[in-house]
Amino acid sequence: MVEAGTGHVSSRTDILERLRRGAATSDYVTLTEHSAEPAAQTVAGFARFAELAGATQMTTTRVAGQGAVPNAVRTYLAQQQLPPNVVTDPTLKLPIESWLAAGVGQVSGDVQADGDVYISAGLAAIAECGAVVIASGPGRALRNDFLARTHIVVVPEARLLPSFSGLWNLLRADGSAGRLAREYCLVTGPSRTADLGVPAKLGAHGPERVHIIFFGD
Amino acid sequence: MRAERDFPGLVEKEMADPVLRESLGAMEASRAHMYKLAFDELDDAGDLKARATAVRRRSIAGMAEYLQQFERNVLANGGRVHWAADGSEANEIIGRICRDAQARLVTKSKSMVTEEIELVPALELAGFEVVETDLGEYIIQLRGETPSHITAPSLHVSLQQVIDTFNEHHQVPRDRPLETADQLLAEARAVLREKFLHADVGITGANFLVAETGSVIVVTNEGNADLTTTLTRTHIVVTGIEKVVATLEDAEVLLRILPRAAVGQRLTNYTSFFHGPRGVADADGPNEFHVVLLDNGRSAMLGTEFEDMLRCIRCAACLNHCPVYTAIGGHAYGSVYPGPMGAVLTPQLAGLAASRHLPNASTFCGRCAEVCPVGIPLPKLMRHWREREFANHLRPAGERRGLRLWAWLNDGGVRYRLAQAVTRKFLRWYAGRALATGWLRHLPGPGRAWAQTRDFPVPPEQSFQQLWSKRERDT
Amino acid sequence: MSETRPQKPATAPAGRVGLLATCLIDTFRPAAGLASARLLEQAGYDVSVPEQGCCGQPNFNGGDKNGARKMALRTINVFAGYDYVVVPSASCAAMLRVHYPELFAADSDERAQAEALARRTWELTEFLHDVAGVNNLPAEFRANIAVHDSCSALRELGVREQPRALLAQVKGCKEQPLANPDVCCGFGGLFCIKYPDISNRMAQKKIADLLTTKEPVDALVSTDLGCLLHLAGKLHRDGTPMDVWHIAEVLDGQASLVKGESR
Repeated sequence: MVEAGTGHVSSRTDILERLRRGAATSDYVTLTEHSAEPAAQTVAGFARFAELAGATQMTTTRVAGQGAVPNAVRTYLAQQQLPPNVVTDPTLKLPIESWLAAGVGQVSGDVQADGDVYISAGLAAIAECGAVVIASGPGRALRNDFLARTHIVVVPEARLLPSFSGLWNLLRADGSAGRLAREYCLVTGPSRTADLGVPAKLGAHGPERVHIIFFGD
Repeated sequence: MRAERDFPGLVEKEMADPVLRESLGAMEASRAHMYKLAFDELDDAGDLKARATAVRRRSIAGMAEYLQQFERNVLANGGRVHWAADGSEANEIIGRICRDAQARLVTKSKSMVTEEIELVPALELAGFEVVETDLGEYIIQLRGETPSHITAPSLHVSLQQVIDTFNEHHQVPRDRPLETADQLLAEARAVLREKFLHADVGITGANFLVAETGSVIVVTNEGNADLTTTLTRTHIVVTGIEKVVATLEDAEVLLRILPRAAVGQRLTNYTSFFHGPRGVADADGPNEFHVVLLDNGRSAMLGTEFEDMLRCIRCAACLNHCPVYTAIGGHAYGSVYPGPMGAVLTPQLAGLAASRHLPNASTFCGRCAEVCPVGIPLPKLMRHWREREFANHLRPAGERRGLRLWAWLNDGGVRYRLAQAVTRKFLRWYAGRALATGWLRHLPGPGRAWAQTRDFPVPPEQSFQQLWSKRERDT
Repeated sequence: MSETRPQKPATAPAGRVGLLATCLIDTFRPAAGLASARLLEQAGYDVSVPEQGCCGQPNFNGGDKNGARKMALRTINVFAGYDYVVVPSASCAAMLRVHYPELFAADSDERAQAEALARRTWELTEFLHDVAGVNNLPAEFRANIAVHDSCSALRELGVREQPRALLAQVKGCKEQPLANPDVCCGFGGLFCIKYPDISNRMAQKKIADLLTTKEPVDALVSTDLGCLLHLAGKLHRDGTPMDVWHIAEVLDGQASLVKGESR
């Protein structure tokens, strides 16, 4: 038997004993297989993602290849009337020249000021719920995703999963490979609060804007 | 757990608050509407609720097994698991972890379990500075209040009151006015960011625990749980043992239903899965990861008539749809958990003697059970508490005698007829000159409570059964 | 009015109905009991009113399970011989149909008897509409009415459409839909005297909805006398002119407008 936290062995034993003795009347219900949504056609998948993400105040664009990302970033920043300067996640591998060519000032590293624009590598996106998935990992400082005022997530098209099941498989694969990330986070919108009246306010602690860029290969 | 015995006194006080009345009115109008929209858009809302119920039943049936599986996985992921029989043990464990981490500043995301065990006062007493980072919680922390709602803790506070509170506590310089929601937001963002950046320990609750992966799932709209956990050296999760589910698919069903039932959202803006401390090559994240599993009366519910309550996912749909909650607000309940779910849970956690009013303060209108996404028969469970109250002589002797008398009088033809006749005659005599108006303005005895705000009909001379017998004789 | 109605069909009665009039109707509104009986007779049923008391709901909801059990057994016994038990009150009907079986241990004889009674128990409008198929009531009531759905009707019995389908047959009777039709009025049996302030606030909200319909409401109608006494008492205390009728009285053609005198 595993020994978990220090001390408190007796509480563990007692609680488990009470649970076993408790003679729960609830039963093990076998769920019918969830009628998983049919593997979304790529086009339909993007449309569904964009629709759901839009409903929760995220924006989405799709570009041909990774090389086109800096231009898409510049366009987005211009639309938002933001200066063309970004901080990028070191795990986002985009050649520095491509930023130069797009006229975007780029530094790799951590968000320094509240107003920074941060661009991070997304792990995946889920079409059926309009969520982008970010995860901690080697070289990846997840804090920046939650500190920047503007958060742009770049996701390879191939990582658009039709449904939650895709993400669960991914987690299980990471788990059995012994590299389950400290945190996986499904993001469906900016940092939002309803505690200061109606309408809800964006940018409560973190991003006020979340933009998703999908790129093809 | 905290529970206030003087429920009628609290009700009177809370109902006199015009600000509260306004916030409750606004909530009543919006939350029920959002709930309806969120479920109406689904083709299979009934199926989703049935699946969520089945998931929770399975969790309860296998809780011991799933908790151990969860524990093994957390250990494998580099975290530690602690078991706490009650609130004081949980607080002691958490205090020790904070001391070991040499913490000064502790940030916290919203968690009703931490309210249940009164963790913040315990940590403050031990010398730590604890800052609530959910904006609603932060507001009431400044005001020295407790949550009045389990998902909207500052529901009872008006925007003007938030403005006043911020001005009072933040000692804002004159050149930085704090008068609008946007200014408040900027202020809170700036103040709390400093706290996030300098905190040593981050404490969160958990919405669900997943046995198969050791995942701790936390949902927020503000993203404050992520900042709380990513920027501190130690992440402590404290949650009830009933939150465990078997698989990621089981968690998925609940993730689909919880935000819909709570606030009419498809998903919250941030749904986070935490698995342990930072990996060796990770650029950030805590060095330590602890999960404190709290029993505090939960295991004792297994196999009892209250077992169904363990299914609760704390969505607050029952509060949002409860006509009593929306009339009196959360503080009137005098307990950590208000509304119908609180009326069932509080007697279990704080003892029936201290909270016997709560399961009585319901018309059994059944709206709570109707909207509960995991099918908890809340009125039935409240009735079971009333049964225990009656059986254990906790109900006032007068009420007990009244009920006994009622059963005796109505258990036979002659007694019933006589009692009816006496009641009718008495009320007609008592009406005096008001007899002709058909209405009584005053009533004696237990009727006084009726007549405070309502007139009472003068009964006719003959009962239906008398008139019927007469009709039968005549034909 | 009853002499102007079509006579009972000459054929054999469609079945024997035991009418559980409820203690509230028995004491405070005999007219609703007589109206219920007439409606059932005109639908072709043989109606009896066996000597009866309270169904036990106050004891059941007050936690006195033993008291409730005794009253349930008496009621089960009294109504054993009827094809149908009809109740002009959704909350009492729900007591018989939904809760009596819960009072007794599974597999006990009492449980079987309670379940047998539950299967034969109907709320009045539910019976008239779903079982008797009443589709041509001769009643008339020229008024804008609001229908108050009792919580038991809506959520314990699933009765919502039946009262409306029957009221639609009443000439001149026009329903004004209420906002928040599924929200409790605050009666709640003993609740209304145990927690009078909360009950009052709930009544205030219901009355606010009654007073803000598209066209003004002349009369409030419901399947449940408890809700009606509570709301009528509040309307009368406030001096709000609105008539209050049990649905049986309206369907039986007994209702008239005496506006200003909440009845």
